[in-house]
Formats: sequence, C-alpha cells, structure tokens
Amino acid sequence: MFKKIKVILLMAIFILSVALTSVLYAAQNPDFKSYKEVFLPINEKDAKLTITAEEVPDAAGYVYLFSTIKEAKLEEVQAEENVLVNNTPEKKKIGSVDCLAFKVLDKEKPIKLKVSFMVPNFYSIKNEAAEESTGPGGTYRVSYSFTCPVASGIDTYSLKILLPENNEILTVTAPKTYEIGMEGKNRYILVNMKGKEGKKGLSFAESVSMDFVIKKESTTKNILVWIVSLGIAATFLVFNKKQLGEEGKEVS
Amino acid sequence: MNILTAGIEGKEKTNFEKWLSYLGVPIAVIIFALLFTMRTPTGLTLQGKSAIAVFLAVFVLWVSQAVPTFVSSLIAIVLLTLTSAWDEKSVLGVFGYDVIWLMISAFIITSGMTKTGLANRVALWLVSTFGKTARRALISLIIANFVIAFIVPSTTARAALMLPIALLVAQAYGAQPGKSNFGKLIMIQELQVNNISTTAILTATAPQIMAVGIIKDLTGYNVSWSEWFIASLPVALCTMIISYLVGLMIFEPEVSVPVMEDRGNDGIGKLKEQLRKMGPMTKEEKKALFIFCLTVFLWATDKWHVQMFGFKISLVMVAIISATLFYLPFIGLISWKDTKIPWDLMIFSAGAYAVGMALDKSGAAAWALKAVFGSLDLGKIGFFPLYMIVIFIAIFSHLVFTSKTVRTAILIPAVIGIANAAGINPIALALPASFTIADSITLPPHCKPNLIFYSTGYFSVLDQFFYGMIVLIGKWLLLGIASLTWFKIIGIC
Repeated sequence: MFKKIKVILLMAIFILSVALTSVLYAAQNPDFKSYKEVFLPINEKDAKLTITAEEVPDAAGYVYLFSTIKEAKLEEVQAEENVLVNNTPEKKKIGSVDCLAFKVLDKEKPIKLKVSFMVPNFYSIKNEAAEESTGPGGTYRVSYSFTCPVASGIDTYSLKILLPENNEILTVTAPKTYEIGMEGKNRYILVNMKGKEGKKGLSFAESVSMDFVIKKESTTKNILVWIVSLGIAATFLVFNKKQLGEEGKEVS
Repeated sequence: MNILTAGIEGKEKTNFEKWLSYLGVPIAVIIFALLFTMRTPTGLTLQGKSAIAVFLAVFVLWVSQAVPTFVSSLIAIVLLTLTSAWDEKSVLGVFGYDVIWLMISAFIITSGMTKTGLANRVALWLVSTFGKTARRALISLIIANFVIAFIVPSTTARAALMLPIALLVAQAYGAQPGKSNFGKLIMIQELQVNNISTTAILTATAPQIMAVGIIKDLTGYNVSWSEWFIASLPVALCTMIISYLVGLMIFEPEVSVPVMEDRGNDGIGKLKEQLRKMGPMTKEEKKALFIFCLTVFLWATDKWHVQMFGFKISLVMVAIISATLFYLPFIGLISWKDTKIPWDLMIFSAGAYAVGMALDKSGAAAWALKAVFGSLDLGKIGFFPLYMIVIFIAIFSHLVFTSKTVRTAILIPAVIGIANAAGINPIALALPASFTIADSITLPPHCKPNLIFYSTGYFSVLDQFFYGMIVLIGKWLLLGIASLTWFKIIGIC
C-alpha cells in the first residue's frame, strides 16, 4: 500500500514538474515575427538605437526586448496593435540573457513594440589596431552583436547602422554578406535575415555581428593626394621628355 | 638605369612601347588620384574603392612597363597598405602563400632537372621527334599540356610540370627571354592551353565542380562529367586552335628550326646526334627522373593520398618534397649555388597577387559584377543578345577577380537569377558561363599558372594581355556560334 502511494506521489511530482516547465517555457519564450534594430547617429559620437519588434505575448502577458548594450539609456516606448500596462519595463532574464519585459493589456493580441535607447559613444571607439601598422589614421571601430536568445527563433531579423554625416565605411570585418547604401546624407550598412521555407531568419543561439571601421571624409586629404599626384606626373613628364630627346628623334 | 628603359633591360623598344613607358607613370598617378579621391559609390566600401584605384594604377604600370614590374609590385604593396585597401599583415603575408612556394619549388625542380641533364635530354628528344619545326614544337607542347590535364587535375601542378620542358624547348630554339617571339609564344601558349584545356574537363579545377553544384542547388539539374565534357570539348579545342593561330599572327616566330646555342643553325640531324652523344641515362638523370615521376605520381593521385598513406599531401607540399629531394645529401643532385630562382619575379608575383586578393577581399570585384548585371534591362533583350552579354561578362569578369572560387560563387547564381528573370532555361546561360571560369589568361596575377610562366621572363604583361584578350574575344564568338549550333544539338540551348 505504502509502495503504491510512493509511486503515485512520484508520478504526480513528475507530471507537475513537466507541466510547470512547460508553463515557464511558454512564459519566457516570446514568439517574434520580426525584430528590427536601427542605429541612427544623434551627433558625431552618440547613436539612437530603435528596436521594433512584432511579437505575440507569452502566457503571462509579457512581451520582451533585448538590450545587450550596458550603457544604453531607455528613451521612448511606443506600442501599436495592443496596449502596454506600463511604459516602464521590468528587468528579467531569458536563459542568461538580460531583457526588458513589458506587460500588455490583452495577452491574446500581438503587438508592435517600438523602443528607443540612447547609446553614448557608439561611433567614437578608436580603432587601436590601425595604430599598430601602416594605414590611414583617424579611424573608429563600430561593433555590435545580437544573439538570438529565443528558443523558437525569430522569423525576420534586420540590423541597420547608419553612419554620422560625412563618414564612410573603410573596412568591414563582419558580417560576410551585407548591403551598403545611402539614406539621405548618411551611409548605412544593413544585414537582413529573412526566414524562408519554414526556416527562421535567425535560429536559437545564432548570432549576427557587425564589426567595421569608419573614417571621416577629408577634403584636405584629397587636395593633398592631387598635389602629390600632379607633382609626380609633371616630374615624370618633364624628366622622361628630356630622356626621349637624348635617346633619339623617333619618339618626338 | 633610366626610367625609359627600365621595363625590359636590353630590349629594343618600339615607338609605341617608348610612348607607353613615357606616359605610364603620369597616367597611373592621375588614374589613382581620380579614383581615390572620388566619392565612394553606393554599395562599396572605402577599402573597395582604394583596391580598384590601386589595381588600375598598377595595371597601367604593368602594361606600360614604365617601371620594372617588380617595382610596380613594390609600389602596389605600399599603396595597398597606405590606403587600407588591404591590411599590412595580409599584404606582406602573400609572400608566404602557396603560389610563391610553388614557384620557388618549381624553379628548384627545374634547376635540378637542368643540372643533371635530364631536362636537356627530354627537350632534345621532344624537339628532335616532334618539333622538327618551331610550329610543330609549339603544337607538340600544346598537345602534351592538354593530354596531361587528364592525368594531373591541377592547373598549377601542370604548369610546374611543363615549366622545365618549355624552358628547354625555348633554349633549343635559341629563344632569349624578353626578345624572342618564339619564347613568348611557347610561354603564353602554355599558360593559355593550361587554362583552356581545364574548361573541357569538369574535374580539372574545383570551381567548375562548385559551379555544377550551384546549378544543381538552384535549378535542380545535375550536370554529369560526360555532359560537361561533350558540351565544352569542341569549344575548348577550337579555342586552342584560335590561340595557336592568333599567336603565330601576333608573335611570328623568328626561328623555324632548332638552333642550339653553341652550334648555329645545325638542324634536326645535329640535335639527334647530340641526343645520341648523351649516351645512356646517367645515375644523376635517373635520380632526377625518379623525383620527377614521384612528383607526377603524387600530384595525379592526390584524391587517394589518405587511403594510400593515411594523410593528405597538398599540391604545394608535393612540390616542396620534390625540391627537398633534389638537395638531400644522399641524393646530392644540386646545391644552392645551382639553383636559379628569379627573385625579382617572385616579388612581382607577391605584389600582383596581393592586388588581386585586395579586389576580392574588399568586395570590390563582387560589387563591380553586381553593378554590371544590375544594369541589364532583361525585359527588352532576346535570348541571343542576352546570352552574348552574359557570356561576355562571364569571360571578362576574371579581370577583376583573382579567385576562381569567389568568381564562381558570385557569377553563377547571378546568371541563374538573370535567366529566371528573363524567363529562359537557366542551364542555357549558366552552363556556358561555367565554361568560362578557367579563362583567366590575360594578366599574370589572375591565376597561378600565369605567374609560373610569367616568372620565366620571356614575355611582358602587355604581351600576355593583348594576346589573351584577342583569344578570349575569339572564345566569346565561338560560344556564340556554339549556342546556335552545338549547344542546340545536344539540348543545352
């Protein structure tokens, strides 16, 4: 009899733990349709990061955003298609990843959440590697990385970094495939990962890294290049003309 | 040494070449300044723009011979790092690339075969048997190069293999590096045939296998080895004939019969007599032959190395093993003093290769190709004009790509995309475009065989470029004719 009770108790504990795990899993595994991050320069140094996420609230009625930049300061929160209970997020963790959790009014409705952060000194980290070998000076390294912490993955993920005006991308270390374009007076670099044929754009634990070096356009440098080039060209033209004259008439 | 005559020492320059030398540096400098200071085009990094500026400036220096080619490479190395077209560590690291080691090893093997007399014996036999005239010698070398493509699948290994024989045949005809048209013909035709014969055999270079893989992935159509061979062989053979005939027109050989250096115009009988006088093979020759055969064996069986030995020996390591054997005390065939390595051309190769790599690594090559393909208005173009445009771009895209692999990875999916957008069978465009992957015959840094034959000093960059462009235009027209005839018969177009 005692043995039977023991078995029943063990089974009950097992069923409860499985059920609890599922609830916790559902509660901490948001379903993202899209996750878009855009860095826009505020000035020469700082950036405004805008994260736009389309997601379905979890069982507990929370939607989540991930902020991997410690120095980032929350500035603005906007919601579409659903209403937030409070614009101030709770700090939570999904796995080991810090995230911001927002409680929604209707946990059955999807939401388009748009959150802006101020990221200080995003464009002003000196490219120290450049100082160790030959190459142009006055370069800055811009780096950002996002690792998908969501077990179910993200359908579409995009990361766009706009550069301060009159800056251009010198070299790109990561990612391997990217798009470079212009938006107004700002150059940008973009990675767009769209899911297709049942495959997520970004799977669980998959990372997207951007690591590139920027440099300010310089009119002085261009003028210097032209002065040196014209000087070399003129010297060679004069020098070689003399040589041609000395060597024979057939060329003149 | 003055600037005007610095390009090819000792060679009498024509008026055109003098003008090129005179204007070379100013044009190169202005092109560099124009491109480097222009606004970076959308889609391109500053690194990519700098790589294009350095490439075009150095290209002018190579072609004009305004400065010696190795100096142009040194200039390129400096400019690449100063402009950040490629980082210093990577640029300097090119001297450690397998292509440089392969060239050094090839020259050690050549030195060993020359010192032992084996290369002389092979060349004498080859010339006295097949090369009774200069033209027949050229044809026999072309055929030899084509035939060994079936045995040795690597273009680079074949180039290293043919190098000592080509050098000795050139010497047998008294060809002087930089002066002799016959010497130019042998060396440029060897590199052209090396590349063109590769296009006939699917497995002769890995990027072709990659192209077939991409075609299968994107269209579902599996191109077999025999399908590739049947489709491309006639084009490859006709291109080789064009290469031979065009070569004779551009560089009419100044010799018609072999001229051994110290014998004057002795004719074929004397060569046979000289071969007879060499007597049976010496012990040293047999040792050299053994090393040579071992090298060929290891190159030809590289797919089965792991099964045979339990480890893989790469192409370059086979060459280094072979070179080492020539120096080993027990074998004792040559010493360092007997080794003739053209270090100036090694420096040229390293710099030229670095420029090509910078174009690839900076994304400039891919950007250029996408820009060209993106400008095509597919809706208004019929199949044949579209086919000719695509094949033209496919053939000449090698001018901006050093890596065949990178070119394949970008070119073939783009071509399939164009075919799909135009509503035509993608195989009709993608397969003929794949036949152009190994067409890198116009500039020394575009592939390793080019660098190996360029390092003989027999021809200039301008010689190779001019000759290569004409042959490739011929191939382009041939592929056009094939699309209306042969490809229709076998069901590609």
